[in-house]
Amino acid sequence: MKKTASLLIFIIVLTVLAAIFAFLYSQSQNINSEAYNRVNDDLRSLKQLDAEWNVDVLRSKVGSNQHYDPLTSPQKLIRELKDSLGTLTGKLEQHSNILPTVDKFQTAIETKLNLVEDFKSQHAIFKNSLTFLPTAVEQLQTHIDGELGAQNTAKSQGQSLRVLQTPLSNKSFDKLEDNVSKLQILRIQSGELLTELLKYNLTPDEELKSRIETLMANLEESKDDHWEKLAGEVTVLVAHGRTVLKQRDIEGDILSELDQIPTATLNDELNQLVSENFEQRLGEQNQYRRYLMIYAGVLLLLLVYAAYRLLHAFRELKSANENLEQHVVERTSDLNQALSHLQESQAQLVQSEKMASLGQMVAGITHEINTPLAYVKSGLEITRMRLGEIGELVTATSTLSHTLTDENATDEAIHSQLQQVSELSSELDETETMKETQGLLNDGIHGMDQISEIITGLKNFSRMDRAKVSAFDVNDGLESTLKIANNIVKHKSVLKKYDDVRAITCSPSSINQVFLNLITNAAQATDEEGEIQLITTQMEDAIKTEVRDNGKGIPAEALDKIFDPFFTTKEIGQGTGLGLSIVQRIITEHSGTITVSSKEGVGTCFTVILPNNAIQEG
Amino acid sequence: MENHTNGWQTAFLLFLFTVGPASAAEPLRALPSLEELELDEQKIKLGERLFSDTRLSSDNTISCASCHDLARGGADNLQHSIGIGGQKGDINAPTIFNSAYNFRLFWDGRADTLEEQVSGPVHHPKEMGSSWTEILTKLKQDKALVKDFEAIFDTELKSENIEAVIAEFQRSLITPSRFDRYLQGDKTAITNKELQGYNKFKSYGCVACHQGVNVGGNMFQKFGVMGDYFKTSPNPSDADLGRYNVTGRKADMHVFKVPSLRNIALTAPYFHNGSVKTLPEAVDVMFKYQLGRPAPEEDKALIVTFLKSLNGEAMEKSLANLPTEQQQ
Repeated sequence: MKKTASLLIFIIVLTVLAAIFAFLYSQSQNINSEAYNRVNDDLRSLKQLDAEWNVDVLRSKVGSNQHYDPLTSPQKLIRELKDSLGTLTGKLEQHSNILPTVDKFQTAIETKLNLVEDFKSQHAIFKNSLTFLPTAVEQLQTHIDGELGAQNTAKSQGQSLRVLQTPLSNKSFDKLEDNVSKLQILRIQSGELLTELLKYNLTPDEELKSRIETLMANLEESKDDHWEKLAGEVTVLVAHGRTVLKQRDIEGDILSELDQIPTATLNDELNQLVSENFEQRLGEQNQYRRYLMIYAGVLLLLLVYAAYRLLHAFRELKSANENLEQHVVERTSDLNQALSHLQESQAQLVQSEKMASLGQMVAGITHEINTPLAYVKSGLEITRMRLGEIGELVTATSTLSHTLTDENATDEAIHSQLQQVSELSSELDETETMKETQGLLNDGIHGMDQISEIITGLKNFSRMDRAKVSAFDVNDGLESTLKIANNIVKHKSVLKKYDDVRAITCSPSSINQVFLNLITNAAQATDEEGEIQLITTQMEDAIKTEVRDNGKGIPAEALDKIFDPFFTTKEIGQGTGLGLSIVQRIITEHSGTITVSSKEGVGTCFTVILPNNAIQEG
Repeated sequence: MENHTNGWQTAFLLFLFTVGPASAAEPLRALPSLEELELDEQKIKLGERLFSDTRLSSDNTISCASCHDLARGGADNLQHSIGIGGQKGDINAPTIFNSAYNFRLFWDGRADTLEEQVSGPVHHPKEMGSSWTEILTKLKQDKALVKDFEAIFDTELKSENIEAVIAEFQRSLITPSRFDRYLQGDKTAITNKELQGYNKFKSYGCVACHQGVNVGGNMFQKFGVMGDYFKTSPNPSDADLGRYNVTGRKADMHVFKVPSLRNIALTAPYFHNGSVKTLPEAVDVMFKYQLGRPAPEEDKALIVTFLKSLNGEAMEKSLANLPTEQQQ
């Protein structure tokens, strides 16, 4: 859990470091110089196109452009460039201060496109009328001249009616003269109109305009009085004159409006702004590049530090590895030492337990041996005392036999000596000395037998070499143990239920120790009237030995612990607490089992099961 | 141009240097040759197929060619074209020929490019009444067509690609005439009368508007400069408002794109409303409302004669194959 968390933190830190690096890197790289270049190109192209466009407007105006194709063809490109400029500048970094100018520029271009369109339309009308004016006036004047000729002919012939019969039918000759002058005025006025209009075309001013308008009004006014044929032409002339006036103004307005559209200025401004922006971005980029370098340096240092740490850690690990073996060896030898120590002390403990048991036994055994020894001793003492009396008899008898065989001996001497022997022997007979001595000696021999028996049991029991393995009869073992423990069990009633068991291969002294322990425990657990049952049962491959007592029993809570080393219910100094743990170990060493069941106040039963082949011989 | 000189000053300077020889130029220009255009042959072929593909209309009855019949001067010779469900449209179909040289498309110039123009008839409820979604759904079932498109474009079939190929096809529809040859220096390419007509065409001021490579088609002009044409116009309609419908500017009222006069003799009836059936009548109308002056009939006849020299030479040949065709 902790490991995962630290790994997570490590990953986060790494990610953050990488992100910072990526950010700095992108900031130091991401000038869209392509966009800047294209904006520059577009602006330059637009400037060029715009300038040429202006020229073409002027050319169209003065008539050196015979058609509008040069004025029309750049429109598409200009519109495209205008649109792409908007898109491109939108792609530039921090374009907020550029965009308003771009907007203005685009609006200016749009306005200009529309104005040029208007110019084309309006100029066409204007040009048409202007071109037509001289023709119209010429036609009119030709017709006036014709009419004048007719009038003059009529006048000179004194005949008013010929060509112009209808309109002049009721006119007088004066009227006819009037007509002539009117025609002449019309002729002059039309010529004047043409001149003034052409003048107005070149230098339009209000005064001239009003004069022209007056002229046209006069022409229109007088036309009703004129001849039908001329009237139409005057109307057309005036209409075109008016068109010229109007279109000249419109065109002038359009051109001055066009002149005021600051496309060139805005183009320069925009260029400037974009250049500044680019330089600024370049500056920032360089700044970020520096940051990036510094950051990279820091990262490198960090990396070097990490590498150093890693190397260091690796080295430590390596040396730790090298030391480890030594450590292990040291620790192992320590442990081995401790183990042997432990084993030693365990053996000592076991030994002392044995000694403790032995101490208990010795007390009993001493008593056992003392008793026969006492009567053997007293029998011998009595025998020695009786041997004095027998000795006197022997001496008297010997003297008698000497006397009897001596020829010099007197009867008296013989007799007195015989007397003495008789006295002595009768005395011996009276006191039944021989019989008593016999009995004493028999007793003594019996006592010695008893002692010998005890010694044999002790010898069987106290063999300390645990490794010694031999065939062993469990029943014999129990018997031998009972002898050793006689002192403890002699007041208990011991009930034996021995099965006909087979011999097992084991360490007899160890098993005897187990039995002694169990029997001692059983004896100690019972009171005066206690009963101990020893039951052996031959099972299929093992022998079951039960040691039962009807003692006070083991409390349930102690039952689990009784095999634990140093657990004891006896008073301090009374027992080591190792007895049953050693018992268990011995049984385990013999691949056997020992179990206990107990009920407080009823009794306890230890069950030992030993396999027939408890320990492999060898 | 580092300093902030006024563009107009520069323009004027440039103007002074270049004003001389240009004045001798003709107001009409010859069409370029197809070779010069360097068009994409694959696109043209595909565009040609789609041009006569009725799947572009909602009821699969109308194709581009329905109203822009290449055999009929690139138009349909009807006053108003017939759209889906036999609906009569609002405007006279202009010729498809040389449309690449029109500065904008439609009578009111509402499309800037040929590509942009394609969507117009497609969506018009009285023309094809369809939508790109509908068309694409139909065309995508045509595996062969989709494959042909994919051979040209990297993308999947989409409206822009359809527009592109149709536009490319239109760019290929140019009709060089005898007059083009005349402009290119072949003085024998036109008759004497046609030359006289051309001179009348110039002197009467027709060239004020009908000029340039397409003899028109490069500017807007009000219909009725020297008189109110629409005061007496038959069948007035919204279409009469012209460019006003696009810009909403009062000045654009009755303003139309000046039509090209190429193949004009083949594309009767005339004007946006198709109200005039013959070319001399159309010339009369122009003289009255645009030029605002009378002219002798013989001059107008000469102009009509000249106009016929603007017919594409190939067109004239194919015209001869048409069973019934009115000749002016």
